[in-house]
Amino acid sequence: MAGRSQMYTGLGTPPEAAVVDKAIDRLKGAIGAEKVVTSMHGRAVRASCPAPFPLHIWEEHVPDIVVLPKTTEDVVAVVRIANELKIPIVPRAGASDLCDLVVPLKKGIVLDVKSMDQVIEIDEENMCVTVQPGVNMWKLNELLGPLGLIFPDDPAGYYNAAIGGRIGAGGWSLLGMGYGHIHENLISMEYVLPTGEVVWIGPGGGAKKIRKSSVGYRFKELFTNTSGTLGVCTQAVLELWPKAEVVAPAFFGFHSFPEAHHAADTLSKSGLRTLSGVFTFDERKVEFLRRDDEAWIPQPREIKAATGAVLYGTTAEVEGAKERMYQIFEHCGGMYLGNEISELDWASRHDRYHLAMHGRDQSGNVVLMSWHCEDAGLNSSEIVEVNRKWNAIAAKHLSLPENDGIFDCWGSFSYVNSPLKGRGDWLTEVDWGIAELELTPERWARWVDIKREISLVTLEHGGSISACHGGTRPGDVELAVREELKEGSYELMKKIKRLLDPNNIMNPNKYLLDEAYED
Amino acid sequence: MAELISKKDFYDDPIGKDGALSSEMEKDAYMVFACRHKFCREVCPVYLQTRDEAHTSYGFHTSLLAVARGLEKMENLQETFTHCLECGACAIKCPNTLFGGDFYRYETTTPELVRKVRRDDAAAGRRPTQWKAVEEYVAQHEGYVSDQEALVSRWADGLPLADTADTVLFVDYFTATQGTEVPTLLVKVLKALGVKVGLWKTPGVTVGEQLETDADGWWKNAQANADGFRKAKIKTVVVLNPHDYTLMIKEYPKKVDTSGYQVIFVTDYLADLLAKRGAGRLKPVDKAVSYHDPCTINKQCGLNKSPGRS
Ligand SMILES: Cc1cc2nc3c(=O)[nH]c(=O)nc-3n(C[C@H](O)[C@H](O)[C@H](O)COP(=O)(O)OP(=O)(O)OC[C@H]3O[C@@H](n4cnc5c(N)ncnc54)[C@H](O)[C@@H]3O)c2cc1C
Ligand code: SF4
Repeated sequence: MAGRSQMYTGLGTPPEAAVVDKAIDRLKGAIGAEKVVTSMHGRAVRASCPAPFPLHIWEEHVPDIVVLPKTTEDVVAVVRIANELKIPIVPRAGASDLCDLVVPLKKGIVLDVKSMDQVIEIDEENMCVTVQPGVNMWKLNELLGPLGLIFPDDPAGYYNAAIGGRIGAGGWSLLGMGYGHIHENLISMEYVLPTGEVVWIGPGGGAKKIRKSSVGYRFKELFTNTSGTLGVCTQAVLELWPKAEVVAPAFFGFHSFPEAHHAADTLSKSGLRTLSGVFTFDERKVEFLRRDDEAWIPQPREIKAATGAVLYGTTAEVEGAKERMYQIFEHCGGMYLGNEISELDWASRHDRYHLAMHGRDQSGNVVLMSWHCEDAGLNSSEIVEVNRKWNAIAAKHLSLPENDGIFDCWGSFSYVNSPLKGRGDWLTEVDWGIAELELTPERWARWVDIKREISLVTLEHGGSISACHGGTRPGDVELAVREELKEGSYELMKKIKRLLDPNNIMNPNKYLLDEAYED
Repeated sequence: MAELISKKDFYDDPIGKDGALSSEMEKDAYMVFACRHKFCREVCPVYLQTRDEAHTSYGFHTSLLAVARGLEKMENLQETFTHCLECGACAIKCPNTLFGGDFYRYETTTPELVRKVRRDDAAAGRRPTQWKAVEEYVAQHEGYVSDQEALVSRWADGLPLADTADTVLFVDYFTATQGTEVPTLLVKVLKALGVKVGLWKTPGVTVGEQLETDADGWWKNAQANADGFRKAKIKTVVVLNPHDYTLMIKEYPKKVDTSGYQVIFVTDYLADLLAKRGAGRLKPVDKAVSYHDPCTINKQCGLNKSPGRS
């Protein structure tokens, strides 16, 4: 296609206009005209996710059609039509993923599941809830709260993500250390396969609410974290937990990031069962927060890095654990930052995210920038060195005049990564700002190179290039499939993809999976 | 009153007939697109019904950005822009407002943006389907005020309200016909406190819908209200409808001479009185009472200290 960018490798041809017209007619007939969106702006608002978007080539990612199904039957009808006409489908839930997972690479149909928003059953006795994939966690917890229950999946994107996207992205939760991530909190689910069959997928066996079974294969693993490439989740049975009686967050300041990391790592391995999250802010992040965050501006200059932790549980458990947590932090040289910052910073963990005004050029002027979050899974032993290298990459690129006012680095957070316990396994993210309004093909290419450099460091240190968002963006996708997955995983992925999706309709070419069809 | 942030005077410049957006408008639309966190979604009463991402603050701003970038045309946005109640819930949830508003003096202002687009559409002769019903609604209420002055003050029959006074209550047609509990109770409280106020008997139309469909008519009413207050030497206008209050303090100063009188929202007025004079002959009630401020006072006017005080 003329003018097509080099944003993605292996990009195929989008559907022909005549096929699109035919699909529109068929879809309207099958699910109702009111559930089929064809206006340009209705489609343009569904071209991106919050990851930096190449605005200069927006049009290339505008889907041809958007559908708004309400039921499993609607989804089956859409999938069958797409198969027949060989037109791509990109499932879209909250559209908050940070890795281009919902960006249509080959246009086609965006299947927006937000209208699948029914809470089908709250089963208090068996501690589970059955929902459609468009249900948002915040709204779900509004229903569960009065029953003394919670669904504990708690990503920073809590207000916007939905269950289908949490499963599709295989997300990570801020409370994962205490309650597990989405995978641990998903019991079973209904799934529409790429060819239109409806299957029920559990942890082995066909029972919907049984957490452990030795019957059959354990398909749950396979169908979470698939980025919409293997079908569509249309119902999910989720774990419920009793609501904690007490939530006790604490923030401590440190003189350096290595000190902060040491304290966080020590605490995370202390064996405190109510410890539900432990995290750090590196030096650049604290400096960044001092730009405009009222809670951090007044912190003494000697506070260069910070560590936080939060306990969830019964009053009896948390009171004892709190004392131990304070002792560990103080023993590691931490300076308590006070109740106000501890409680408010934790309370605003879902809100405090990035806004365009955070961007600065090298002279300190505000430049409108969008947020990029590069996250990695790393072992504890590597964190400090990786942080040093990532900061060196930032210093190098930001000092180049051509990058001034185009890119900015906003520092790093790290969190315990392993579900249900601290095990020396961390999710580390480094946040960048990108002046999207100023993007040109050259600047975009420079950006992709920076991302590649960051991910290469992760791989050098034995890490995974993403602990929570996926590895499907330009800059990481090649490293993901050629390096991280090189020991046979990628070959297996291609076989499974081709077996289940013979016409390559489900979110095509994510993870360069068009290669599965190359023979 | 809290200092208002981000008045965005550039919303007053109509989007040209060719649909070209100024660079300020493009940046304003981009500010929400840049975030794309969509925290604006699950708080939106319209989205909760339609579940359509286009009908949200993110959807409106991104659609406009698509116009600025040449992907879409203004005339195709009308139907989408009917899907807003102008409640402001999204604007306050937006990280731009929540975490940047105070610091950068710039916030997301979805209701104003929606009003602006509707106004520009109306000025360009573009009318979405169903618009006739809105026009009829405005016309009906215009009728109430001009022809049936008595109707606007009927709620006050028998209550101790002067015709003129330094302080008058501004009770619009809606409150006077469908929300009479608040003004009636207010007058009783004032009586118990020994405070004398008057009733403004010719409240010119203030409804936002008229500002969108018939801006000239709306501004004429605004001018008449302001001139009327001055002519009658009114010092304080106590406004009972939060929408009127929002428009009087946010829109009036843009084009109308608002000198000579102050506008105060009813809860602020009462709180000030109680602070100055004490509870007087009011009887204490031994009950826990919660008070819910109208959302516009907080979300659109920036008055967020209890009870709606700056
Ligand atoms: C401010 C902010 C903070 C964030 N913090 C976190 C965090 O702490 N932890 C974290 O893990 N992520 C975080 N994210 C990223 C994002 O919230 C997660 O990736 C989330 O899981 C995406 O959910 P969603 O509903 O928005 O999914 P979408 O973005 O809509 O979709 C994600 C993937 O799932 C697929 N998909 C969607 N619905 C279905 C379905 N029904 N069946 C099959 N596949 C489907 C899509 O095709 C896509 O590949 C954050 C994002 C933002 C904007
Ligand atoms: S102002 Fe209210 S109705 Fe309009 S988009 Fe925002 S939340 Fe929705």
